[in-house]
Amino acid sequence: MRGRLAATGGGEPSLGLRLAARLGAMVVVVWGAATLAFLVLRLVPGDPVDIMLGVQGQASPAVKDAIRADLGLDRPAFEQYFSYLGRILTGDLGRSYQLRLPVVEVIGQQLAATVQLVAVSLLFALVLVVLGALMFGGRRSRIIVGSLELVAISSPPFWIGLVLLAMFGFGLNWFPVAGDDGFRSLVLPSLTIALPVAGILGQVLATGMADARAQPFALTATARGIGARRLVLRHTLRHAALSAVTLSGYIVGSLLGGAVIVESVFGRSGIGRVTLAAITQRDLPVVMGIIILTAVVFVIVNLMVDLSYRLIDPRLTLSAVAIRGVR
Amino acid sequence: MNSIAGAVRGRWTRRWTGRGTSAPGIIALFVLAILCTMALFPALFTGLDPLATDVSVILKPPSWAHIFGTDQVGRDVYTRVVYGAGYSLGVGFGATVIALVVGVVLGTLAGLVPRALDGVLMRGVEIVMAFPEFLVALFVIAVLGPGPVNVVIAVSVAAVPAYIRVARAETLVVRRAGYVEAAKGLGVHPVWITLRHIIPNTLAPLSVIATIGIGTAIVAAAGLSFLGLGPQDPTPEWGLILSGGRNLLAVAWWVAVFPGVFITATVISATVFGRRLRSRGTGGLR
Repeated sequence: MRGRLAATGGGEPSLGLRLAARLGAMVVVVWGAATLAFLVLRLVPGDPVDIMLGVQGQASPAVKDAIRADLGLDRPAFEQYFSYLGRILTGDLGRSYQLRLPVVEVIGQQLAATVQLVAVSLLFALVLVVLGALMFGGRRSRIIVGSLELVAISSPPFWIGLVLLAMFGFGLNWFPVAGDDGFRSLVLPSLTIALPVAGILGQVLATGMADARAQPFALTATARGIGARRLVLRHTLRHAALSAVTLSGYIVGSLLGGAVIVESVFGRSGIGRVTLAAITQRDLPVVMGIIILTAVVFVIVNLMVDLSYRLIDPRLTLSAVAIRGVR
Repeated sequence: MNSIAGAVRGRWTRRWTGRGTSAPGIIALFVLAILCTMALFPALFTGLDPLATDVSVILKPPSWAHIFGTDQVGRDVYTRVVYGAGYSLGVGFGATVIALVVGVVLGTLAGLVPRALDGVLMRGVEIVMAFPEFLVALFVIAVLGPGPVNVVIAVSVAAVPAYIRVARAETLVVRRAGYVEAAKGLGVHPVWITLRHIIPNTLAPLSVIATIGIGTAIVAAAGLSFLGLGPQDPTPEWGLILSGGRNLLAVAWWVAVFPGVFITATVISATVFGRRLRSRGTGGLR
């Protein structure tokens, strides 16, 4: 009991308080992103109404003033800011300049396609990594796998996509070269995103597993007569997974950034295509919507990662997870 | 987030480029030397014009006359890749230098100003770092509009937060060093202490990150051009050549394959060379 008190340091805030702080930090990130998005919209050179009407859109000054009043652009900046924050809280992200649809609808229509792509990519990456860890534990094969990983991490993702497309799409005709119908058309785009992610995970796992093999528990397990494969699956891989999970921020980045490029290379529809179209057409409400969506995804992924630490390593208690989360 | 990729790439190469001379380190330096020569003096490597079209050799596969083949208007792909080195390396180098300078200035200030101000700046950095680097670059393009100059700005803005973080952390360490205390005791002006003692000592670790960061910046810039947000055809830029190759894949794989090989080789060499710098130059300091 005394040791426990000493360890927790006495006057530490309760678990509930720490979780509240964690949630507060999440809200701050999303609020910061929303504020940044608002500032970005104000910084854009040119009149938003002109951008909205596009190059060919001609309108009289009276009509422009009417649109401006309709959008609240004639009110003071801080008033616009607060009404903007209020609208975000009610789930209203404004209307797209180009598509004349609510931003929520524009993003919502495409979300499923990208979620599917990203989920399959992540699955491919994990399968590749576990297979690599199981089959190539030896020294010499580690050098070969390590070189492949370095190439996968260093290559531009759009080039990986083009090479896969040239080989398996046009060359061998195994998979469709464009479009999004069914699982077969999902294989090459997902592999494109999965390869760099698998490369980086593989590097980190290899280091972590080498550490784990030197730990007493690995020796105990070996002395118990456990097979090499079982040792990897049940012990060292799990130990190394903890350090790999820390990279989740990078991995989510690869997945989202990859989606923009891969959807363009393979002619798929999805959030990445929406983002690219919004950027080239300067459809700023959609860009802002994407910024807020990215922040929300980041916050949720971080929370899930913090909770998964505990599943992977039972030595960590829930309170330790909460502390780690608040940082 | 790509700085993490750089760090992990680096971790792997450390084993190969540890102390003394090593084959990968020498190969990396050699490749970088060739690429830099190519960027500065492209005419040494090819006698052809990257913009010259020739209808008699449209979409020819690699041969002795055209080792990387030709594209849909008969331009020599090898020549275009050689001339592209200047653009791509220039953008990668330029964006990294801008990010490094801005990062050092803001990071050093953050490490020296009162804690409240430091806190505000670092929260801002954290919020930007919540976004994938490539998406940050895309958002900057959304604000500034597409174009070759804006690509450089976008890539450097995306890279800056990581440099600010490292420069700040280094400053916090260096400002407590004996020689800084000694200079303070001698009554040296704080601005001079910062310029003469603090900043030079934070630069060593930053230069290693920047070397690896050049590779990341080249990939990001090529990605933006690939999406059509940077220079426009017929500029010989690696990402743009690849983008043109996308539409020719069914008939001419070579247009899309060779520029990518060059990008990958550049990134790997920069990473390996960055590790060499760390293990040699800064070994005694850190």
